[in-house]
Amino acid sequence: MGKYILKRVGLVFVTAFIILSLTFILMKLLPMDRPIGLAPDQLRYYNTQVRLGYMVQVQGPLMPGQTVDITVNDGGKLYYYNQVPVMRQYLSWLRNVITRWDWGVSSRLERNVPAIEIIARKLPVSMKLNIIALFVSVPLGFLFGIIAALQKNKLPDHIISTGVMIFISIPSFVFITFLMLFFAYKLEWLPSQWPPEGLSWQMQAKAYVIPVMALSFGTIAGFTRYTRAELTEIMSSEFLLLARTKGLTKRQTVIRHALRNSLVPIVPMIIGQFIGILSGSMILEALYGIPGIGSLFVTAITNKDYNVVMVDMALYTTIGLFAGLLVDLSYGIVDPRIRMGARK
Amino acid sequence: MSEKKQLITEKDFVFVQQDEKIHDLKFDTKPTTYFKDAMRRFVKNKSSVVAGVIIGILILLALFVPIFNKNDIVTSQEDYRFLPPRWPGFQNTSVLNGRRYVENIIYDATDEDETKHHPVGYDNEAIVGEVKLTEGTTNFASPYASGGKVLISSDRSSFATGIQTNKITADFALNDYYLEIVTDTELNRDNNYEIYVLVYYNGPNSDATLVVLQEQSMKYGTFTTNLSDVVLSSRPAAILEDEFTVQIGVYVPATNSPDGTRAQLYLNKLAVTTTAEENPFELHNYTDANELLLRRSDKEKIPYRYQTVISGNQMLYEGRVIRASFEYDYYKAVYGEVNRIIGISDLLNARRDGKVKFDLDPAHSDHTKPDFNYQIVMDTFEVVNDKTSQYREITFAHPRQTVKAGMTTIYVYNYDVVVSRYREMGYTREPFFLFGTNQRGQDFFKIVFNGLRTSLILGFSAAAINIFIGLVWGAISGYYGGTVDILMERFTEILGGVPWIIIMTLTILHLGNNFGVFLLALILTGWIGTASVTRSQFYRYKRREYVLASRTLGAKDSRLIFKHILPNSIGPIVTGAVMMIPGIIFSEATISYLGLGLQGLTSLGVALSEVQAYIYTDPYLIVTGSLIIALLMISFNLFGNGLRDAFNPSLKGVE
Repeated sequence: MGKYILKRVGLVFVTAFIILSLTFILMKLLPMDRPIGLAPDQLRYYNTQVRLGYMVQVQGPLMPGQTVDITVNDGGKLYYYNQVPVMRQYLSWLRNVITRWDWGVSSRLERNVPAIEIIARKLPVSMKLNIIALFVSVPLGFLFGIIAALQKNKLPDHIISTGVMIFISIPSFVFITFLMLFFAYKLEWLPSQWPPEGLSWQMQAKAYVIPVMALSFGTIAGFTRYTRAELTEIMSSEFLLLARTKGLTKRQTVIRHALRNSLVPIVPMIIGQFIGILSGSMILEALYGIPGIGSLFVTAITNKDYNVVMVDMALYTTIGLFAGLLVDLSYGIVDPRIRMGARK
Repeated sequence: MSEKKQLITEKDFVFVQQDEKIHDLKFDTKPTTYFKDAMRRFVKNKSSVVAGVIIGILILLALFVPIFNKNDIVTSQEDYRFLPPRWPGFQNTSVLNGRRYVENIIYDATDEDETKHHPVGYDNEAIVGEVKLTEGTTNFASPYASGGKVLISSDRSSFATGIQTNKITADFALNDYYLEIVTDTELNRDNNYEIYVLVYYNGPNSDATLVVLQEQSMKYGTFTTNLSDVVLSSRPAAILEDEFTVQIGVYVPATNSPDGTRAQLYLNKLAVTTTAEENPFELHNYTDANELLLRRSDKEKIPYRYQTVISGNQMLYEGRVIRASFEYDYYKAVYGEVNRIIGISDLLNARRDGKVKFDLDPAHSDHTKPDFNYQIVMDTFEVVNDKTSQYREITFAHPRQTVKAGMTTIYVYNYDVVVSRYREMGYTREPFFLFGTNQRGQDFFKIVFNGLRTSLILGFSAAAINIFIGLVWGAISGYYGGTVDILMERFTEILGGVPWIIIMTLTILHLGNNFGVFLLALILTGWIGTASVTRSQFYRYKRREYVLASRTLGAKDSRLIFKHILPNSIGPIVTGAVMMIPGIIFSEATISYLGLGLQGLTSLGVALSEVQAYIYTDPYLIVTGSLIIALLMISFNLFGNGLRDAFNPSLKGVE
């Protein structure tokens, strides 16, 4: 088993490496984005690019027929820069990232601020939002699932199953639209936008309600469906029949045997849902004005700040890959019947 | 399961064929195929059938609405923006009638003619029912507001603030000038202030002497003084003349308080009165805070720009306005009748097209005469074609205008004509926009279903290609296994590790956002799901005995794959295909929200993300669009679930 885990972890690292490399190369092949701002700012940006090995400075004056990628005019003095070939940029990038953890600087959003710093600043908000959504949806989903499974084919089950079908289908950006319309604009109970920092904690707490609700509706439905399916299967299993025949009441069998066993696959499910929430929150963050990595991705793309886009993409990719790995491994750890790495 | 409990008698326990030999008999019942069997089970699932019908209706609408609905959704028509939904048959109901209840609109009651009073920006003609007027206040400068106070406040706690008039020259001995300053007694609090007058003894540009009228204090309310006395009595002995230039001001010193309270003062009135016929201060008086603010911003009325804030801002506080609430018929407002000046040639064209009928004045309509012209005899005007003629009535004939064009003289005849705007736009009645109109004045119903068509075409074609690639890939990988399988699995693992949003973003950034690129972006990773399902199905069936049997009879790989294994594994694949379509529509909508949506073609996602900005002002747009996408998603998922249950009954209720 240890060998299997090692193999899987290694594979994830290789996959991440390949994906990030491809992403970097593809991003670099895009038409170059000039930073916005005054010439000194631009110069600082290009000098950083030269230092990181993505560009070279060309000494002027230019020969006739000589072309450069970028000309910066600072107070009458002209500076010329050329991009180095993509593959050499890629090697420099590898060296920078591995040896110095330097992912480049933002060109447009926050000029000359390291991209990794921007991400680090925005990540906590997104994480907080997602974790709250997860903490809301796990118990609720579990609860609804249990109710539906125990009342199978009765009215509560029908109501819950219909609800699950509806909530699992509707995209979260549709939810947030309706929640905003109803709670923020119609009833005016909750803010219609993410409040700026420095407001009272009541205001801050209120701001979480709408996005958390929009994020967790789908997840609650997912958990409910999963728990219901798992529990119904166990409820009809033989060991439960045995438990009943030896004299346990239905309540005892459910709590002692059925619930515990149905919990097993929920753990990997939670991790799996977390990735779902994270990618689902991207549009929500943009719509609700939440300063997280999702809205950063959107603004970075619209502003063509490709360095920030690159780091954001890298973050999403690695989170996705490692969460997938955790899901696979946790199945084996939680449920000993699953033998990891076993041949089919 | 079934509620009907039958009474079981002894007769029911008799074996049907105890002694007969039936192994070589043909079945009486008709043989059923896999698909027929699944179909029978599917039809029993009512919710899925309903979902299927809804999908069918949506597809039909998506196909036919763009064809039969002739409304223009390409050009922008500013006048027809944001019309609320209007449905046929709902004219007398409270919803979907093209009307909206508008609240608290500032009411223009400045005109002396009371019939011309109207809510600002709205047309009296289109108001339905009573206008409910309420007294209200506004903190914005408005030409329809009166009264109010000026709030002068500094930017920071360390800044002082105040207000000061321009320089005014007057003869203070000739008349008595009285100064009156009213500070608000209720709103002012904890701010010392000082009232002063600056007197320029040697012309307006010389240095001034400060005469303090009221010392720093917190005494709020009315302050009056005889300004003439003050000015004349405080002049230096050497100066004998009576005419001076003065400036009157109120000064609030900085608070410098650590808790950030700022210097501020609410001022109700600042006026100088006199018995003289011409009061030079008159233009500089203000008793109306609103007037003060407006005239400062109005360049045309430069003489009124008399107030200077020493530092900080001034704003209107509680100006009084009348606010109107009423139900407004948006369609009548833009499609009703309007008076417009129409030239003779347009009317002649209308007559030629048989829309209207009128006679020309025979005295002037002789072509042979040098000064011939066209002049309508107004009494003879008549609408011939009621349906198409946008010209309803001539109300006034403008006098003849002559325009010299080079050597010739042209006579221009213009008429005031009542124009019916819906007829002008080519409608036979006020149109019905089922989902209202969007920010460009286009029929949102058509936009949504046009977008749905694009989204569905994208969804179906991407799903078809994905299924094809996934099938081939999964079949090869699953059937052959071994090294081929491992290599192919690694490839899909790496590709599947990239979040779809990143794949799509990168593809679109590189290749632009047209239909083909979207299709490509959706295909790049979309097939992986089908491939893995197919692969596992192949693993399941390839070792079965019937496959082995067929192989021993000499069947080739292709025959085994397509004739024996694939048909058995088709169920989950079909289900996966149906479930893929809502996923693709969702992906497309998400990408549109990122701002990388399809260009040129409106998709459902583009239509939705465009109207997201109007969620507060015109929520019907985003609501209708969202409802359609929600309906689509729910239907596809229900339909897909029904299909899965039908193909594989053992999975029923699992997910």
